Amino acid sequence: MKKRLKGMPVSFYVGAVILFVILLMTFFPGLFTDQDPYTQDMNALLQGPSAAHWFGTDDLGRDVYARVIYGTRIDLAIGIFAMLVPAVTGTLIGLCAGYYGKKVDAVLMRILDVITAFPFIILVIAIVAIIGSGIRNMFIAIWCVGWKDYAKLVRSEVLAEKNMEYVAAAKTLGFSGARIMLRHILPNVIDGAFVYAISDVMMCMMVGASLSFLGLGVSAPTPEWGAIITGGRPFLTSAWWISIFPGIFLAVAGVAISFVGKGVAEKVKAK
Amino acid sequence: MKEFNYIIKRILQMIPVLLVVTVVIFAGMRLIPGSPAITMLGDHATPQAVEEMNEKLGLNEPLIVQYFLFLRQVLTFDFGNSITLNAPVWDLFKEKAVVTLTLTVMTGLFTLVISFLFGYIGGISRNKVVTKTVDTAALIFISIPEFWIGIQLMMIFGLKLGLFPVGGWGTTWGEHLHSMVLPAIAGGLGTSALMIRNIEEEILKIRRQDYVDFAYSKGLKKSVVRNRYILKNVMVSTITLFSMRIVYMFAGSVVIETVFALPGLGNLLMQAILSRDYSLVQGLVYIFAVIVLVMNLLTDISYSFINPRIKLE
Amino acid sequence: MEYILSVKNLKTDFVDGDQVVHAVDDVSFDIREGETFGLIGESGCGKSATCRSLIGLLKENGTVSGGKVIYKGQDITHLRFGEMQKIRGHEIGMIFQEPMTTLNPVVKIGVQLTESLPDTMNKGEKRKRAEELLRMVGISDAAQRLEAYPHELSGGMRQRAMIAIALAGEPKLLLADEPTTALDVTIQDQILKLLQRLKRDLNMSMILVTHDLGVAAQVCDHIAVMYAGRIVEKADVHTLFHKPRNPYTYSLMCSLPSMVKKGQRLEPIEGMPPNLKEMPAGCAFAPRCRYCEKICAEKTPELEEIGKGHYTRCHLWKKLEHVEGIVEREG
Repeated sequence: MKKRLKGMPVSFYVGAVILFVILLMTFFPGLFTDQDPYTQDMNALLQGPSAAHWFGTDDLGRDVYARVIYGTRIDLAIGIFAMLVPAVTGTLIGLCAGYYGKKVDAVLMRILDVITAFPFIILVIAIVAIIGSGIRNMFIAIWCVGWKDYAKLVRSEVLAEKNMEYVAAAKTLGFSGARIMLRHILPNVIDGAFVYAISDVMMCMMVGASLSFLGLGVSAPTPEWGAIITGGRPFLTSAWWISIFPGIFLAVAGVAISFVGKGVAEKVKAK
Repeated sequence: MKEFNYIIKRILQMIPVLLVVTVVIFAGMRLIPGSPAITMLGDHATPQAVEEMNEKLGLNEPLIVQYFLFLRQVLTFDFGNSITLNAPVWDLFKEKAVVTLTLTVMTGLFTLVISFLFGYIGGISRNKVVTKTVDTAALIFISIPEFWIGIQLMMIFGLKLGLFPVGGWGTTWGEHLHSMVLPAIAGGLGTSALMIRNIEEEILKIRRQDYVDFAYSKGLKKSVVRNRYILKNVMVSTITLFSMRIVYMFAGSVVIETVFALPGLGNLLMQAILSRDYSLVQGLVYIFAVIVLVMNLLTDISYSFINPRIKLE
Repeated sequence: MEYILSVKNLKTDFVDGDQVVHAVDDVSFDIREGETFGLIGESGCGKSATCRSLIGLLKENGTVSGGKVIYKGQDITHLRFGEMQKIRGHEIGMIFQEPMTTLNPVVKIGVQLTESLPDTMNKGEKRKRAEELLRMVGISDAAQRLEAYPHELSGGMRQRAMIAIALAGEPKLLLADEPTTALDVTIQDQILKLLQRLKRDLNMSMILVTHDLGVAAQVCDHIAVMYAGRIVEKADVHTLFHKPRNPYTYSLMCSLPSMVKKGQRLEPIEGMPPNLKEMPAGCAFAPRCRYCEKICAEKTPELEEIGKGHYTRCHLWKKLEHVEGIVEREG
């Protein structure tokens, strides 16, 4: 592990440290604030940043700092779970299509053609429109669409890989298709998908926040960064702090993930 | 002639995809719980109105017949009426399309200028600090959501400084373009950052190519080598990414138009979804899909003209 | 005698990570007007780096750290970019190994040809001249080929086009860096003959970089053999091939089928050239040399003149005195 981390660019370490803090916020939000993100205080509406309320309060007198800290958990969860399911299914689909080729592959390609016809955000919005908004439906919508990039990525790698001798050798030994795919081919094609998955976490967080901003994802009073920003929109001139801080957190988290992803990508490329 | 055949072939290939798209949308709309007539008319519709609607939509027919009725509508650009706005979907589309189109073009132009400017500086510079700075700045901008950039831009340049309008797109073309400046920046920064990194990487790769050395060995001026050798090759390798991002920008209008309250397609779609105006949603989603397919086709065709190595097949 | 190009104690360094590698180490040679000078050796011996150093076209991590390159009495070692561009192409031209990667893939051959023609010509004249150049290198349907992109030409055709492009500026000295290596054997021969003809017709001098002794024997007047960044033997072609006085040159000859007489055994050189990062003490070739003695591992041999214009870098060259005429020069 030590050797692996050696020679990473500075940005990687910066990203890793920020991510560590973000993880602390996720699991131990109490370490960062003793305020409750839901408690309303009608005597402290729309107050600017102060010693008592670092990021000020919102229109219901809730502490924005506490809401942002508690929001970390939700946004990170959105990023990770929205990435995870499509990453796994997409990789498996890409594996099968690439490995079996012919009809399986042709069917996949046509499905991809159709999905590609809809821009990602439009398709997700349309699905949310059909099944209704809310965090669960938002996940379903992203899952329905997100797998296509993994499938494309893995498929093309498998096509390059399956003519290698070790695959032929494994076939000669009579191993089952599933075993060859998972034990032999997968380890050799997973790198690209892995690198993509890291930046995908960031993209999923952004999509999640954007959907909440549009009113299709997480809704009030849950403290999610996109939703907090939306909540602050009517008060842009009088209470800029409501919308600016969650955005900064979102950006910093995104940058941290990008930095780590870039470091990993360079390592993988060098291999 | 070869080009013509290729284009025809690609258009023919689009037809099955479009058909499947109609099936997907048809199926999607039937998946909505409750009767389509009620969802379309709203919960307070009279039974009589619902029955009329059922008749009109052919909902009393078998599913397959219903699908073909829908298909006929689609083929004749008749997507029915929007319940909430009380106007034909196609007319609404035509009215709003110009806003979104302007936004997409402006965003695209902004992206091209910014990304080639900084990508070129970062890639061509022999100063490592410059390259690293451009690279890191780009990485940061990739990670910031557009809607938040939009809100901050609007707060600073619109509300605080009063330099730009904070909503709507005015009445004259001057006002239209003026009101598009902030949205174009907000929508274009992310893509610019992505393209800057791409261009930078490409330039670093191309600079090491033999043909650049050969160009210098011929005694050519630096400007000729940079324009005709480096820049031209970078353009060829960046055009695919750019056209993919143009589609993304077009779709991203949903978010940007909501932030800046621009009366375009994205805004219309959001309104339709939030007010459960399903015939409008259905029509708009279908039109979006057709536009994306056409854009992809244009990309492929233009790419084969720009890159002589790609043969039209 | 007037030399068109003199290279004096040229040193070129490459930075690799945190190490500096001497890819070209103290290389000197002179080129007479109208002659073909061969730089030969295995890949990685510094012959290409030498060639590129001459007109300042090293890769980004390389620099000329010492010595001089004198072209027609002018020191061109560290010219400013603008000054260098007057020399490049118009005085010294260069052709490369791989025509596929040497031609700009997205620009038509015609444009690549005309762009180095003088601005005093108008468009029609340039076009006419471009056609002429293509015909000169043996491309028959010149007018059509001007409109072609590089990928639309065959390998040999591309190499011809590249030569035509390099000659557009009418250079007096042509640097040919492995011009035939990437080609089929039959086309190799055609290109070599073409280069020889052009050299004669256009009154050029030429530096031919190659790993192929057969090619060098066929076209060169003088030859320098390089090993691990240094010249190990230098002589006119006749002397070199008839009286090789360096074990490395001799081993190279014995390892090539075209060089060995009928009935003689082919003897490949054992081992690999040294890693430039970890050069052995003493003679760089010692670990692979069959004549190696104790002194070879201890003391680096100097380049020594052992006959008129015949130099060798070997402590034990006298051991080779019996070696004679192992090859008849072809052609």
